[in-house]
Amino acid sequence: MCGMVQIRAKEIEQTMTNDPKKVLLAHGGGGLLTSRLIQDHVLPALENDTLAALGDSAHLELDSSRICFTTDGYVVKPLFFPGGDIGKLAVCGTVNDLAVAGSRPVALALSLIIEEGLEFDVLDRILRSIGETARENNVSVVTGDTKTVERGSADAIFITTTGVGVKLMEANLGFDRIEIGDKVLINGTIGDHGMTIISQREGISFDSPLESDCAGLAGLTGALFEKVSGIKFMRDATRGGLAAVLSETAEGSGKSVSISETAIPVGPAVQAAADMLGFDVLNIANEGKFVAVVSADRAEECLSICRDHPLGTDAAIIGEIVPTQDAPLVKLTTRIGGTRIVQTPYGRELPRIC
Amino acid sequence: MHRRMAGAVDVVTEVEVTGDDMCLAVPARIIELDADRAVVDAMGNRWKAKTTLLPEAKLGDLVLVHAGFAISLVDEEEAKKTWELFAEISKFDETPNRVSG
Amino acid sequence: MLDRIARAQHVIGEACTKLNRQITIMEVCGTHTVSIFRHGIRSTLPAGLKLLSGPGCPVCVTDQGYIDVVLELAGRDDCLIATYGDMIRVPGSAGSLETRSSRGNVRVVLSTDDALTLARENPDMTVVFIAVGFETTAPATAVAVKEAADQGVENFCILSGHKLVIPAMRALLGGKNDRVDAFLCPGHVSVIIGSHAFAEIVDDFQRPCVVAGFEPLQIIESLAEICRQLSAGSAELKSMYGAVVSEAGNTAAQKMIAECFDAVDGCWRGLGNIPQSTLVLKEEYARFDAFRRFGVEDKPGEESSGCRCGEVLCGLIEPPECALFGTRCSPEEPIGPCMVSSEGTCAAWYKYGQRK
Repeated sequence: MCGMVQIRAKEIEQTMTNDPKKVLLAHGGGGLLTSRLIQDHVLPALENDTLAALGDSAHLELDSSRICFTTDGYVVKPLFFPGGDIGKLAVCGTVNDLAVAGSRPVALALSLIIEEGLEFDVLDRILRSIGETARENNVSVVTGDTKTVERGSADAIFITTTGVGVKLMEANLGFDRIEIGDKVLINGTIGDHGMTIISQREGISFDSPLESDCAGLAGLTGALFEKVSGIKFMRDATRGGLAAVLSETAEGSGKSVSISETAIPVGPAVQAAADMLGFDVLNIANEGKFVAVVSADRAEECLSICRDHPLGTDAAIIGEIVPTQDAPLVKLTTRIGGTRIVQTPYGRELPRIC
Repeated sequence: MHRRMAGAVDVVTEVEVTGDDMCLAVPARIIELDADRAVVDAMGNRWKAKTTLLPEAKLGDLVLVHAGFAISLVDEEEAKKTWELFAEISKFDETPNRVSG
Repeated sequence: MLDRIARAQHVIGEACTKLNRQITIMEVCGTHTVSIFRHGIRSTLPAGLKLLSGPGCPVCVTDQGYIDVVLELAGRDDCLIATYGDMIRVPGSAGSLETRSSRGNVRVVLSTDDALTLARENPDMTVVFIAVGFETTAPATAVAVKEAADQGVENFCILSGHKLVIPAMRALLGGKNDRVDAFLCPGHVSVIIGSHAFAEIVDDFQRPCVVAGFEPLQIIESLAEICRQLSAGSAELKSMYGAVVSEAGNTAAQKMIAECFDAVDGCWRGLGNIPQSTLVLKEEYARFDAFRRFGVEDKPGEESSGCRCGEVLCGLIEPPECALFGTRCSPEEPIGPCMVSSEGTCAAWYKYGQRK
């Protein structure tokens, strides 16, 4: 016990005089080191006045009482991958939850749980990525918290972001709005994020042109809500992939969904990687894709709005809402004209994908 | 699910890491070959594979890869007749990576 | 492609009409089972043609006793288990590798080469590779054993559960089962053993045997060929997977199997004891045989009560005829291997939506 205290004291002493290269447990203690962590690393990366005020709570003035509110944890492994990193993911994921709820994302709270020993270089990269991604998506990280835990108690870093958005006047979404004949639309290719993560995992790793599709969708969804009134429902297709979203849609609305395999956009490299490993791309996670249910007469218009936007160039109408027989199902017409049912994935998806 | 611990074995159980399909084999082209150690390419994805079971395999050959081993040469002419994937492969070889479907 | 499929469907339809009875074709490869479901092929076939899923999933036909041995070894402190993904969730009599793996000594590998590397990197542990699969995977195991022997990687061993397809097909036809009119033969097993290996099924049992690939067009055209033969009253061996299957097969791979393994009698779930159907390491490689190294035995296990995996494997019943299907037995909580393995008939039926 005595020996431990001496080592800790020595570490702290060193940091008082030198810059540490790694996060120490003491950086989470709430004292001088925590202050240094925030001033020297967090604030410069996130750059905004509200945060810089460092109040216990952020003060927001929103011009509506219709607010959307969401939270998500991010534990992706590896931390950095082609197309993104845990920081970018943490911002985009929460921004997207707000976007598909029909709101304009305004502010984020950022909680970091850092494992003792994480290198500051790595932390800085992640923080810079959070800052850049937030700016690109017109949101501010207005408040946050950092804690540190002993080595072995967290895997490098766990991030939670909580987001607040203002509901758009034009957005009126819900399962109950979905009607027979509505079209189902997706803004681009599926499986990119999940297959990219898999390609980076130790024990699998293969060189690949794959890149995560991690991106903030609020700009695109905002444009859709502004210009088209017939949008009934929207959801982002993350864990569980397209299959999970469609299953939820069927179950929630009580109506069946019929989709066509040939209409679903899939990149050839993603398909080849999935074939090699035996995955069904329908079940693979995405981080920059949403599914929208829109009224039939507005579907083409939605499609062209998407295709005019950088995050929707491969958008497609993949199916429609159809009547239910016994229970609401997702029916897939295969490329040979056969039919099969798409199930909700069992939940044993790839761990630590987002 | 465990993470790497210093000094210990990297112990991981990732249940769905493979789609666990026993007979799964895909065609891929040999782009590097050193004795029986090869790198194969399928639509830009590059994997390690061994040619121990296919001693006649050469650089540039299209092979069927199963569980990390090349098990057969692929007759490309025959393949084009019934294997849709081959239409994709030829398209891919010629054009930049694009979306299908 | 769609017009070729239409033509094949036409041939199938005509044959069914002409024969005026139910035609039953059995596929003996789990990958065919999955592909047939994934592409919705059944929905494109006429009612008179029935596709049966036979004992083609190597995990499904692995006897419970073998699985219990795997779990026993996984419980040891000095063992690292290396396995293809499929084995992880298969239930033995007391849990599965998944539930036992909280000990952290189970590693999913994509190739036997990775298992060997694992052994080299962990000299203080014994790596046990769970060697399950038909002739497609057996050569890879043989390569690993030979390399372990040549390079002195003594902390590597395999638990051989490799099984052979032809003896199983014979047992199926010789026994209680006269339902099967023809076989859709496994494409990748044929890559190794050669299409000619199925000649004995044609000669001895007068059943058409057609070797098929795994894409929907390949499968449907193979079914059409079978129907053409049945309609003509003939029974022939034909390969429709010429791009990768030759008559003689992969002789280097066959040699590798012959160098390392002997075929012995073995117990198959649902089919009981089948002569000369299971591979065991030859005496000169005995030290790489986990059974011998650890002195464990594969005792035929007991079925869970109500589990009808055996009948499903023989094509005697379809999954919904088992009372446990979709009720007590589901992918979330599987009872028998047919539900656990993604190639298993019950899992495929469940996943692709056929609950009744």
